[in-house]
Amino acid sequence: MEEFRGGNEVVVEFDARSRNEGFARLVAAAYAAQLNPTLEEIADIKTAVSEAVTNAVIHGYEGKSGTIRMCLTQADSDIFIEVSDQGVGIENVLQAMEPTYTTRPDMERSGMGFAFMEAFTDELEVSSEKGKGTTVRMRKHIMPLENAD
Amino acid sequence: MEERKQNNLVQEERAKEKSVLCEQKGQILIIMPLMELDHHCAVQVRTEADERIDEGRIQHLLFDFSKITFMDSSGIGVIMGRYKKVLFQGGRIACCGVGKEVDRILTLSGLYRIMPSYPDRASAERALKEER
Ligand SMILES: Nc1ncnc2c1ncn2[C@@H]1O[C@H](COP(=O)(O)OP(=O)(O)O)[C@@H](O)[C@H]1O
Ligand SMILES: [Mg+2]
Repeated sequence: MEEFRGGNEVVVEFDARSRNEGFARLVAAAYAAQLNPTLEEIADIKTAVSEAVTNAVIHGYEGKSGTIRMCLTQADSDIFIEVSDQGVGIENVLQAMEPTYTTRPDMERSGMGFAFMEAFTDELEVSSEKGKGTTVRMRKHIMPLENAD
Repeated sequence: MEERKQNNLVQEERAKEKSVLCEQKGQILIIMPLMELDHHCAVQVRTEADERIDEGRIQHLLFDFSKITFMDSSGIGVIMGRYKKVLFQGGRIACCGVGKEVDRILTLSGLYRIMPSYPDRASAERALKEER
């Protein structure tokens, strides 16, 4: 999708391990730093990335090995974040995105992941195909500083 | 616990990659996450807290968030799961030390409805001890 892409691309690929959830948050926060985000905007980005990457680890690859790709781009005052896996995929994306919907209550999942991604970014798009994998695209607007020094 | 002593302990436990510090005070179990509460750390927090709850004599839970500035929806699952455990025996839960970042998550998830927030441990403990 064209509007979900900017320039100055950074791509990281990492193993689908829970340990890397924190790593992905740090990378996204560091990438966003070039737009002088507020602490709150950084927290928004960290939360959204954490949810997307955690989903790839838990649901996409079901705890098994796999590779997660995170692509970061930027245009004007927008950061675009794309997280993709080649895991099991989602059969019904609309249903999956409903708040509190989870297929893993046994793992104490709250089903709030997509709701948080939606709440903490300005745009969210999920495309998925059963057996092929899932891609989550998010756009986060960073308010330009009025009195930047 | 004295503040300086507690801070030293927190440093030591973090160095050992421990993501939670549990402390029992009477019938209250204080659960203090030490590292960003995500899916990675949630497992450790859950295991350690459940061990302490299952040992018995615990009625209420107090989540002390003063040492962390990040939590995602995995944290919600940890709190709800522990809440269900103590609810069964008539227990309640509360929290304290909530910073801006954690507050957003607790507000958005509606958790404050079952887990009231207090400015510090002492006031939270007092509220939990009060008969209802
Ligand atoms: N990357 C993914 N691959 C496969 N299924 C997914 C993926 N992300 C989300 N899902 C599905 O969508 C559901 C809802 O996700 P989410 O809102 O993050 O809640 P939770 O992770 O707590 O279950 C998950 O339970 C899972 O069934
Ligand atoms: Mg999730």
